[in-house]
Amino acid sequence: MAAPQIPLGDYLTVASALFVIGAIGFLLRRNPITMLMAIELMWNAGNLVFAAFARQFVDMTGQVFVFVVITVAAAEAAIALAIVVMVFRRKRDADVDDISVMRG
Amino acid sequence: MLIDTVIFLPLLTALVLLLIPRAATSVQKGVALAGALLTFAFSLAFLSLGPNVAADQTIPWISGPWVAAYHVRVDALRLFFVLLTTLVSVACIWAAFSYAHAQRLRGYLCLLLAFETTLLGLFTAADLLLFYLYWDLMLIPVFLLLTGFADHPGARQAAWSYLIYNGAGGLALLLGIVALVSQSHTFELGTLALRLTGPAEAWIFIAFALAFLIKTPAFPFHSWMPPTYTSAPPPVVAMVSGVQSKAGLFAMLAFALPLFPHAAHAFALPLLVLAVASVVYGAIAAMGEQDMKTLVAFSSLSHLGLVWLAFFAFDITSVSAGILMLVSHGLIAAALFLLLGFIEERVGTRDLSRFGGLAEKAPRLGVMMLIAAMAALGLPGLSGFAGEFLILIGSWQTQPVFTSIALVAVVLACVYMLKLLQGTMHGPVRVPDERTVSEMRPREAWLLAPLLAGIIFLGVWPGWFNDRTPSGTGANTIVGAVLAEPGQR
Amino acid sequence: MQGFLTTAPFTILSLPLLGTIFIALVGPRVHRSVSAVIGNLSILGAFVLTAMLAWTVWHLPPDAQVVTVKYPPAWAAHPVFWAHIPPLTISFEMRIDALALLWMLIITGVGFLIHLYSVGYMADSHGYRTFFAYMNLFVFMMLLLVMAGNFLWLLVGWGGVGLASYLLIGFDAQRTAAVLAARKALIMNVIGDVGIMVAIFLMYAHFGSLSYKEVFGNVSAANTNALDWIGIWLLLGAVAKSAQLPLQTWLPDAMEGPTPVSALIHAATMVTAGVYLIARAHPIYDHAPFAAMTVAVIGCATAFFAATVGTVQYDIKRVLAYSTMSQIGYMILAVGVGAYAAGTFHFITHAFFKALLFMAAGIVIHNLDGEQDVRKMGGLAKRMPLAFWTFLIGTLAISGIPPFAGFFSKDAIFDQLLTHGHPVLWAFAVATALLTAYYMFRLLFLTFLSGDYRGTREPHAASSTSMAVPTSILAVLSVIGGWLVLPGHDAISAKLEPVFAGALPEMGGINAMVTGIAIAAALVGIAVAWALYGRASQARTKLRTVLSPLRALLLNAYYFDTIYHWLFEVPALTVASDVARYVEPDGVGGFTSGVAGATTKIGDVMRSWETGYLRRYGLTMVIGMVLVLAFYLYLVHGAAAVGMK
Repeated sequence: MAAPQIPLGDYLTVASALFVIGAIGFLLRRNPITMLMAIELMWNAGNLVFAAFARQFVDMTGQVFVFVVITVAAAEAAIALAIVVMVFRRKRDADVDDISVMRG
Repeated sequence: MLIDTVIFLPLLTALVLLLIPRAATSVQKGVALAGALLTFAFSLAFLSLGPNVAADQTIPWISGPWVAAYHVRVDALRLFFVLLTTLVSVACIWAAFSYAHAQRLRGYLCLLLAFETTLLGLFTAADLLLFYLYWDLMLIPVFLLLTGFADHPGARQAAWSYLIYNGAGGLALLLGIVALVSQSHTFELGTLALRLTGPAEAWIFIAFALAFLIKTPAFPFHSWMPPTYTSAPPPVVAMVSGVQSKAGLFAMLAFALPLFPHAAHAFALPLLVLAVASVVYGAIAAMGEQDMKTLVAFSSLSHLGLVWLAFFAFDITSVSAGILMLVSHGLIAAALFLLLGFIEERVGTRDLSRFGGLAEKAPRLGVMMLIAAMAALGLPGLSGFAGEFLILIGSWQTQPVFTSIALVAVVLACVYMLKLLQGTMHGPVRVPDERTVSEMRPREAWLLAPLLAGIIFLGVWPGWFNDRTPSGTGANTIVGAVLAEPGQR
Repeated sequence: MQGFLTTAPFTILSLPLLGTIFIALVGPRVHRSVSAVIGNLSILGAFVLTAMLAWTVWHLPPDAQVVTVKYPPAWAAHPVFWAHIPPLTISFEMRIDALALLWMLIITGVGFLIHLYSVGYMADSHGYRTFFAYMNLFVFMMLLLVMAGNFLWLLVGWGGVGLASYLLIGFDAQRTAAVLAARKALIMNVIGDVGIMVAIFLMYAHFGSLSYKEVFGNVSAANTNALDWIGIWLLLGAVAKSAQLPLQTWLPDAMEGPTPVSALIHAATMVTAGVYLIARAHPIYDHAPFAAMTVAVIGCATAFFAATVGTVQYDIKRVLAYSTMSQIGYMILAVGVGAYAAGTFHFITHAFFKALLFMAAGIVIHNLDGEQDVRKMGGLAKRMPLAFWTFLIGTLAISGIPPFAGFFSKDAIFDQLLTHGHPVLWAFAVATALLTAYYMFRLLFLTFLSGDYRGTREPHAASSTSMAVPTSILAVLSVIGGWLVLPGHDAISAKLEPVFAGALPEMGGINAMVTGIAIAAALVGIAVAWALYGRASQARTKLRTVLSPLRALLLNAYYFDTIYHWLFEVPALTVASDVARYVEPDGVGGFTSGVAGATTKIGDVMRSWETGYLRRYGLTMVIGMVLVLAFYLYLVHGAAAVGMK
């Protein structure tokens, strides 16, 4: 009667793909902005899994977690971007390999 | 409550000190000494409680799956450790007045007072959790005093060695306590009626014993001791050696022996071997030492080894005399280290081969040094003899072989103590760098006088002490419980 | 009466102690003579009280003459103990009996005379006050030793006199020789203390008490083997304190102390404490034949050994030291064979004549500004007549010439050696008597006669009254002191009877043969001394070359010092300094720093992974994640797969 359900496996496949793309991007790129975006991809892969399972088991806890994750991700992005801006100002560059030492 | 007053008055004094401006050193001195003296005066009131009446106070603390309480008490076993702490602290805080850097005197006095509170807390704690907290808290003031307030170049290194070594001991103790409490579900010693058996008891006992062996220290866990004692300022080393070194043996008697009687008997032999090894090794190392502070440090190793022998000979006389020996050694070691501090201040070196004959210039110093050294070498009539003799007469009855070996150290003690006494005081006058050696100042003499008076009093009449400490009869059955182990005696 | 019996001992004991405390605390604030007066008066007071106490006790019925005094008395509501760890209780306890009283009389009596002598002798010393404080401390400790009512207090006194001896030998602390001698004396005495401690431990194990009353009361029930061991360990204490073989080497060195100290401590009183100990513990030795025999043999050997060494020494005080050793050997020999009264008697006469000899020698040394080598003396009889005549009396007394004091006490010992059936010991004792007469007269001749004065320093003539008076008194006592025991009248045994409960044979019976041989031996010794040293003689140099190896052996006192040095001192100190220098830092400390070093190395290895590059951390995280996932998958599927097989 309702629209045919997308099977759980499909959600998980997409989420895995997203996560792997994010992880590879994080490991291979050196630009902090790109790395942040890769991290966002991984966050969202996680979110997708949460939402998919929430739907599967009709349990809203998963969806609640998604909101928490989105909030934290937003905060994290804000802080990270601020740091990146600071680093960029100081180093005139935005390559993470240049900031391998924790002092100015 | 009296007991809280005694424990926290030094800490309170330390906090008050922080309010006094850094420059007002004379006010700081007055406040610190007054605080220490008051603490001592209050602690004397415990004497009037009579031999078997305990000052006891319990406040519920944690009532979860593991019960703990703020439980402090002063009973016959703890009484003299409290008195020793308060008395030695007075002398040490007074001795600290001559600290070279007036600008930093406030912090120095604060830390000494805080140290006193942790020691008092340790000796009054009747709850294992509370005991453990103080056990590790003790490390902090000593570590800070060593890193921040010692002029000796090796002090920083010594501080780390002290911290890591004793921290490791504390870790062993923590593991032991955790294992114990996971079985008993309470930290309360009074309700810890549980009798462990088998490997669990053995392992927990080993953990406890290891911590205590390190803290005392006993051979071969003593390598933190010589650098610490040598590089710490005299008041600090007097408190560490005079009071803190008693913590392990005190806890052995107060906690480990009543909790793990089977294991204590089972491990008596290895511990006796370590005890006698400490006695003899300490004596030999002291004989060969040229640094006067290290010499006394090794003599401590030797004398406290005797107390290990006393406890693990499991004779009622020796165990009870062990307590006397602990208090006596506390007084003697504190007096000796303070005296060595006065000497070092005058001649600027600790090397016995570089100076001598000071008694000629400072006769009063010579007399005080004589009393302290004679007490340390076990001259009859002074407290060192009383402790030593009563320990050995007891341990001879159950462990004649170990006692005979320990007796050799009595002769060696004479050799190294005379080396110290004659090396510093007698012979031709030799002072490096044309320094002028002054006679003892009144402050120095007065701060030592109570310690020496205690040494003489306990030597002339140890029975007074026996009647106020657990001696096998009467209500206090700590010692009795240890000895009454079935099948062992 | 009872009140006096309990208060007097306490007062006697406290007088010298109060003297010490007073001199120590008040002395520095007042004139130096106050210290001397207090020091003297306190000892005199103790002597007078002791005499009164002795008079009182000896007028009690014989079975009440052993007085035990406990403080506080038994009726006190809260009894006070020195140590109270039931079952061990040790009381404050004194025993006043004839044995203790005789010793107390000598300690306070001769002690007072020597105090008086010190007033003059030490007048130039800048440690004048300290000297009297130490001397009073000594008298206190020595009284404690002999008045003790149990072995604990005996040991306290025993250690205390050791301390006083240590302080007084090293009195001139600026001289390295004195400091070393003091150290040697204390270490050897501590070895003896340990011996007594072991004996006490054994007594406690067998009798459950340290009190004389209970130990001696139960002796007959104990087995002989145990008593022998107790006796041997007590003997170790006696040997160390009384400078007997093999712990004798400290006494000659102890002569570094001022002469009054040598007279009081290292001649008259302290060194005889070993004799006291064995006499006091006589119930043990009575039941321990092996231990008693050992005592006798050691005493006899020491007597002979020390006498031979004394024949060649040149230091006037060292000769006297060896003679002390030898005479105490006699006393130890006597108490070893059970002749307790004879041993005590010889202690008394010896205290008189040996203190006298030291005092006379002290006058010589004092007047020669500290010269002690007899080769730089000679012909002093005319310049110091008092010293000469008193020294002569002392020499006659020690040589055993009648009617001087030493004759009677030595004769008693010889007589009892034979009656107890020890002819070999007796032979050695007589040979020792011959040697004694020889070396003492040799000393007398070398110092006072034999030509003219050989020294370079001009001797002072005067000797102060405070030195002359006590010397003269002791000279009189050295003459008449032996008359305490005359044929048919034995005052010593009569007094000691209640202590030894009838175990004493009467002294004073003159056995013509024995006495004749003893006197003949002494006369031969004197004659040889006169032949070699009394007149100009070529025989001396000839003899010296003939006997030169023997002479070297004797001059070095049989090389005991050298042997001990290489056997004990050097190995012990080498081991100790090696431990301090190598074992401690490299061995024990090395283990610790090894652990610390290993930890650091592991840290270094681990650190190389932590580069600081973000990718590295990301990769670590991913690897970790993969591992966790793999582990999880293995748990779920791998286990199932294994299970299917």
